[in-house]
Amino acid sequence: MLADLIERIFGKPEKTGSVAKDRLRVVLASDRSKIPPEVMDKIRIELIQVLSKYLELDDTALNVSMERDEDSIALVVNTPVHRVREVKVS
Amino acid sequence: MANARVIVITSGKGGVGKTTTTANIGMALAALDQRVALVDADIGLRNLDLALGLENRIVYDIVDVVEGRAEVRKALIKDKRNQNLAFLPAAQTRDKSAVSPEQMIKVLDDIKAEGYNFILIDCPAGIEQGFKNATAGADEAIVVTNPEMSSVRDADRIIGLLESQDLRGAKLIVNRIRMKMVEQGEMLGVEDVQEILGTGVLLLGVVPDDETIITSTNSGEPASMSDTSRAGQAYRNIARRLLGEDVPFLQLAEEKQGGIFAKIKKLFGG
Repeated sequence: MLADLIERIFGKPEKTGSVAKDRLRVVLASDRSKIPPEVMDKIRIELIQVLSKYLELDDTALNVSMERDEDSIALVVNTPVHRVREVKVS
Repeated sequence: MANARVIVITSGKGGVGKTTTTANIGMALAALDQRVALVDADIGLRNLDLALGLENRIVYDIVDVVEGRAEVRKALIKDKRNQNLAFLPAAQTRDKSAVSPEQMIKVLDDIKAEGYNFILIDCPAGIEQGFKNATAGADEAIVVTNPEMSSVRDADRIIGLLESQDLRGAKLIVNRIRMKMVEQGEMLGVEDVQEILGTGVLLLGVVPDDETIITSTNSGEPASMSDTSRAGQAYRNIARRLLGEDVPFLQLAEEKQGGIFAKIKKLFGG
């Protein structure tokens, strides 16, 4: 009776099974998005190679990172651009 | 006769039931007339011999085979309870560097040449060299997990590592589930675990947390040999699924009871 009353006032406490599920989802999203530093370096170098075909950029300033919000993970590439190259698109 | 299915049984985390699973599936497959060789790849921490009750029959081990002191045929221990089952023990006095991936593949080829249909490899816990050696020659993988956070997390990691070794489509066993707790919302359910791990794995079996696993290990007789063990039944079902049979997943006891009570209630207009 008392327990019922407390539940009615404060809301049902969440079951540990669903707490575990939520915690696992978050931690796995984080685990899965971890890129080893040597791979990250490789991504950075290859991105510079591709982008340099079309843009003049300061390759020391190109920054690659993983950003995460509530439920998604994004690869964010940030680079200052000096100017756009004249490229023939055939 | 070199077309055996080579399946590695792995988990990442220790203590989730890899060895018990290997022993039970092996015994169940042998009972279905398959010729099965079990390989203990947990070098330095030999345990599969105990699960099988074959610890007193070991003469040679996998390192003896690799280093040329015994041929695989001699080292394989034939189980007297079922002639279809054989077992290659791990070395107890060496460490995980004693067998390289190339040497593991050679041992597996030698076992295949003996005409086995199935080779099950009991993988050591962890993600280091021992894991790499144990998975080297496998063409299928079974991932064992418990419905518990750290074990599921490690299973996710292992699935990623298996994929990077071209072992895709790993099969999942959810071991030690307590249906009563799942029903009360206090334990991850099978669907929860599947949903979290994603589509990279297929569910192969659900094994209840069962005291008969302890007693059967005590006596060295895998639970799948017992008609009364629910975990044993689950392992027998897994063996049949591995052979391509479509076996429904166990209705676990608490559910069944609920079902009967619900039916009675319905009868009385409840």
